[in-house]
Amino acid sequence: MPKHILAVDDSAAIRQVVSHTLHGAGYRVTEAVDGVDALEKAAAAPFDMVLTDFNMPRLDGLALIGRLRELPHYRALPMLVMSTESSQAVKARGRAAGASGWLVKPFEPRRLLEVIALVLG
Amino acid sequence: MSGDMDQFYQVFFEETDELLAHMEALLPRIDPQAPAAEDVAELFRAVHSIKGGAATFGFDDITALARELEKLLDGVREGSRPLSRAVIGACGEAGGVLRNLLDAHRGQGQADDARAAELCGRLAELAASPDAGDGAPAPAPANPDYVYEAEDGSYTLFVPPVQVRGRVGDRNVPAAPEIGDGLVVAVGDERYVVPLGSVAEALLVAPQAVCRMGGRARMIRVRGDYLTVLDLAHLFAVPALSADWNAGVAVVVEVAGARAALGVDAVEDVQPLAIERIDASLCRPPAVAAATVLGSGEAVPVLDVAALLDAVRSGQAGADERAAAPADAGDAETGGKRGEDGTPRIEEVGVLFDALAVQANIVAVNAAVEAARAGGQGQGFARVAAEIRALAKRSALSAREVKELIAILLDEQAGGRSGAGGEASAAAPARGVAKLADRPAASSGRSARIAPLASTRSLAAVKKALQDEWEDS
Repeated sequence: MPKHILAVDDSAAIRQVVSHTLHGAGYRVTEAVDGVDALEKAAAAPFDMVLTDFNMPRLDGLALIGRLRELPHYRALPMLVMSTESSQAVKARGRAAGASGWLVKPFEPRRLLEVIALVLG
Repeated sequence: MSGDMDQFYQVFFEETDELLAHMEALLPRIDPQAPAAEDVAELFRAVHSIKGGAATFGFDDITALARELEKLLDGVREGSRPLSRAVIGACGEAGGVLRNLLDAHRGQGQADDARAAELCGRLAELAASPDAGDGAPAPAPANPDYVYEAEDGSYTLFVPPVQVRGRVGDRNVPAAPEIGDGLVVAVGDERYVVPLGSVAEALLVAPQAVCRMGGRARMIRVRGDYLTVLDLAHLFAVPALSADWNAGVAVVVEVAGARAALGVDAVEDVQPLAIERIDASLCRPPAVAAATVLGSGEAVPVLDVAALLDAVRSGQAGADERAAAPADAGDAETGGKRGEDGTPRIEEVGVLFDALAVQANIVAVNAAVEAARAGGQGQGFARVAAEIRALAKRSALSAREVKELIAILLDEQAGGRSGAGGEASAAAPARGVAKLADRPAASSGRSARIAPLASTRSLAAVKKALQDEWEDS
């Protein structure tokens, strides 16, 4: 059974690239356009991992992770943030919000798969 | 994959178009005296999204400008800088320039790079100016104790990675492709990857350094050794940029003590690549070991250097089939470089710039080769090498621009002469222009030849198969 990943990004182009990369590696992918959409989808299906953009309208990536961590299924689930921001300060915020890791955009597809393999096993 | 990439680019173009339109709609309604935090946040987000998308797709000019604008707006968003009219004006101007760059990438019009660069500088100045907010910036928290941080900073883990204990069966990731550094070389419009481990060095070869052994094999002397030149264009029967490899760039390869030089049109870059071995059943050409996909989405063959060197030893390769090439192919350096009237000296400037850019790239490639050789201890140097490569790329871009400009000037000049002096002089355009125009012509003559090492399938068919396989995998 392929692992099911929730990919959240407000940019359709980036969602496409992420989905293409993940599909190519055999994962199942569901896309969400922002934090609110992601929360609804996460409540409806038990994903194996969440991969989210940071800056998004309505509900940003860190707030999304914070809200998801309150749900029993998502308490210990790997959740990665993808962002062009890479300062220690912003990563520290990600960590505090409950992210499992931080990927700096632009990412190489193989890097993305490498990190996912590291956190999913 | 390239088809997919085109589709991705299209989505990016449309999305960026919308984001720019959104920016343009937001700007007039923002009141500098009392800006609504929501509008500022939206403006910031639009710029941030443009930057993120452009960076992902490698549109460096858009990324650079959006980054400067984002920095400026970040201060406004955080309240450390007032939203002055200057800032709003700069946003409006940046919107226009971003649109110009975007259109240029779409093939609509010319990018005004000078204006973009100038604006980048001004945005940076504005962000650094005193009214950038003299409030002390929030102190960065102490370096958090990450569990793992990738050396290149590309990712950080806050949790321990899941241990995979050698059981592949239950992993949902297919067996990882081999990761390795490769040197991307160009032969005409085609690209090949030479595994960096087999590259000894890259050299610019002067025509006088090329000699022929027994009138057939082309050799070059490198540090006392005579090396056979394997002309890749000839080997793979692809149309090369130059009609014949008489001099140019040679990539010296070495496997188990055997050495040879690969004759190529240009060395492009050293990249870490995911290399997919090709099943022998896929009719791979004998000199191709694997395939990889470049950042541009192009699937390219990875050369089997050991097989190439074997071919040299067994005498299959290196023989110069083109000894019978038309005599007018001429020597790259001696052929009619100047017009008969001797005027196109200006053209030499373009050639000089080009040569400098090529040399810079060769230095960069050799730096990368040395860094790779030094292994773990060469990591610092690898960073330096990466910087040199970036510089070489910029030099190449500048060289191209200068050449294009010169070509236009010479074209106009030739046009002027043709108007005044009849048709004879119109047939002597700048070589830069002629070189570009020659490319398809060169291809029709060359592609008909079947090279000794090329498979019976055309390279295009092999590439298509690689592409399909890559997409399927």
